[in-house]
Amino acid sequence: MIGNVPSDFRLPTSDSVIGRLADDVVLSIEDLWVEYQTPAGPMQAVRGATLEIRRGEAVALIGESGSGKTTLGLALLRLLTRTARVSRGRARFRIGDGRTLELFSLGGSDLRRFRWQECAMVFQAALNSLNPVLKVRDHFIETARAHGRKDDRQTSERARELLRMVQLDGERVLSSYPHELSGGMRQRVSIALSLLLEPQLIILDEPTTALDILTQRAIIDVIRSLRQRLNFTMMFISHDLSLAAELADRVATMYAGELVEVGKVRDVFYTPKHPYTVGLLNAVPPIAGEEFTPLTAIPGSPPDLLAMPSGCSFHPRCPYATELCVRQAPPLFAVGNGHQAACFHWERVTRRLDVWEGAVR
Amino acid sequence: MVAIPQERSALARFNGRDVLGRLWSHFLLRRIAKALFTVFFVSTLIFFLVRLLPGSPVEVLIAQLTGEYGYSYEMAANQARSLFAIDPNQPLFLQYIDYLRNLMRGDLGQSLLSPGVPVTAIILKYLPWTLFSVGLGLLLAFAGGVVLGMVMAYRRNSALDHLLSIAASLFYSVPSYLFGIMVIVFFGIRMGLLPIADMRGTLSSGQQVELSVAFIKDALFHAALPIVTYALTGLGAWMLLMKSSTIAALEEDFVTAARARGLPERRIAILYVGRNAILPLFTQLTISIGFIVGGSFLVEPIFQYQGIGYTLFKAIQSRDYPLLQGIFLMITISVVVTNLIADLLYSRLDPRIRRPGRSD
Repeated sequence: MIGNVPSDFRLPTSDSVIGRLADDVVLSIEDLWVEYQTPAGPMQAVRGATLEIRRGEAVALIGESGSGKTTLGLALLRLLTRTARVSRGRARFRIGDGRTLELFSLGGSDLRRFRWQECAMVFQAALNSLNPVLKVRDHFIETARAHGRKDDRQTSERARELLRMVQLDGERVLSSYPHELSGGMRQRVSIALSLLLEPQLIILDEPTTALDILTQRAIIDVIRSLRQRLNFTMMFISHDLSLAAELADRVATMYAGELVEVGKVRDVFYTPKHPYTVGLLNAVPPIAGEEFTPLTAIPGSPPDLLAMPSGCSFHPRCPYATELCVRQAPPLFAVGNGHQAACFHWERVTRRLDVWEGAVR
Repeated sequence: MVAIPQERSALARFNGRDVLGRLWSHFLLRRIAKALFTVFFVSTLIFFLVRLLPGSPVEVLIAQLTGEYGYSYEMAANQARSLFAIDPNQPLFLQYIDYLRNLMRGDLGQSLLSPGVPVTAIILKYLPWTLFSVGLGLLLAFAGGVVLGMVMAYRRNSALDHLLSIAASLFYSVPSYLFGIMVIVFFGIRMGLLPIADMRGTLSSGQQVELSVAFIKDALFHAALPIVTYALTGLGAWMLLMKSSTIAALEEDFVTAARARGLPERRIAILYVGRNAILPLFTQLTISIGFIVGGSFLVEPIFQYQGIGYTLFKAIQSRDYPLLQGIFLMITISVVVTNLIADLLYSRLDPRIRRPGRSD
């Protein structure tokens, strides 16, 4: 990356002014590629992802495990492991004072400031994202101090307030160690911690995975009420469609590292235009009040990222696949108002089950 | 939540058991009780082991006294009794009670080699030197290993890492006594860089044990070679342990989360990586403390450093059974006590031990 970034954030240069972010766009990802170095050669985990997130909106990134959702999230915070790198593309971020950051050329203290102050992340509940030897209070205080907020008493006060918002007993939780809290409580702490510095954007990575169903419910309610109160922008990563349906304004479906369908939550769930989204929807019980329909699995399994199929990456599993799909990769077609899908046959795609049952047979 | 008050009231009826239970649940008390039991168990073991040895040392001494010095059996038995602080004519069980009673008073009998000198006095005279030299050596090895291990983990696969890895394996594989001999042969004799003859012993003749700079300097001068030997031969293991432990800690989710929160890298290295990586090493430390005297047994005779290892060496050579028995008991006690200290230290470092959490 650029080695010498001045301590003040720079405004976009003249050449990027053409692609200036619209006023309400917080994050703009353009043609992002992330590759992992593996013993078998470079593996593309994210392939040309393009996505815009507007102020105040909630975008759900859905897809199977291993589809590159988490990698995309980590890439934005520049938290990829040493074996991974952003090989192409850019991501721009509008920070609080209106200036725009080029995320992949941030360095040193600018990067540190961007993290958490502008963009925070809530990690998977299954992960141990809290240090076992530090009390919850120390997590808040360390974070505040790292961003120049030296008044520990004020930080504690703020932490108590945030913990109350996620329905925890602030004082008791603050003086607990992480192992003394249940999984659901730890996740609430993570959520409260993400709000500490009032960031523009919060990335939630599978916020309810590994929690029991009642705790999941509680976490969803907490996130929803927080959004109503604080109105932050969020991107959440999930394989749980019902979660996406409940919390998101827009949904982006990810398959084998590509964003294959993006649209408003109603459009994507009621009139999906990519066969993979249809497959995902048919694989789970109905989300809205439809009558019960039998569940169908998507035939086959996700492709080997080291040996991708030609043309459309979904064609080996797709009931609509034709000669064209094998030869050529589909671009994103505008299929509706703010609704895009990467499928040549989007006009024929329906949620009717007979198509899929035919494919299974 | 509702069930708890009922449980409490049920327990209140068995008040005595409740108090005992609460004492037992107290971490420190539990550890001390365990330590006392260990010492008791081992002292019993030592007592019976010495008596079960073919040709019991008591019998051997009596035979020796009657055979070589013309003592009558009565006189020989009396002599043996005073030396071992036990009466060989009593039934074993009563002897054992006597032994325990003497032990409580700190009476371990008298040395055979230097009659009239209590074993306790000999141990008290030599043990501090060993604790000082081995303790300092262990501390240096541990501190150095932790720092270098972290450097290796942070710079893994760099030239520095490879270099340090090779050095660590090398130090790790050389036995301490061999290292000591090599130091004497190369630095002392071949190159003549070290005044090894002057460095023998624990203090220069004429130097009093006192709290002064001269005393500390002299003590360090004499202990330098054993300390360097312990430190360097122990360093490699700590380095390699800390390296793997740090690499594991670097992969932890809370380290990534700390980076995401924008914490300074140095803060993360100390509080998130180092603090957690060092925890498993403490278990290792408690184990290695057990080898304090074992290690000094091999190293001290080489440097003629008069600590407890040197004394043990001498005691074995001259079959000084009361002294051996005393040193073994002392080894046990020191291992148990240091283990206890390390345990308490560990519980201070790892809150999960100190305050057991909920199980879900």
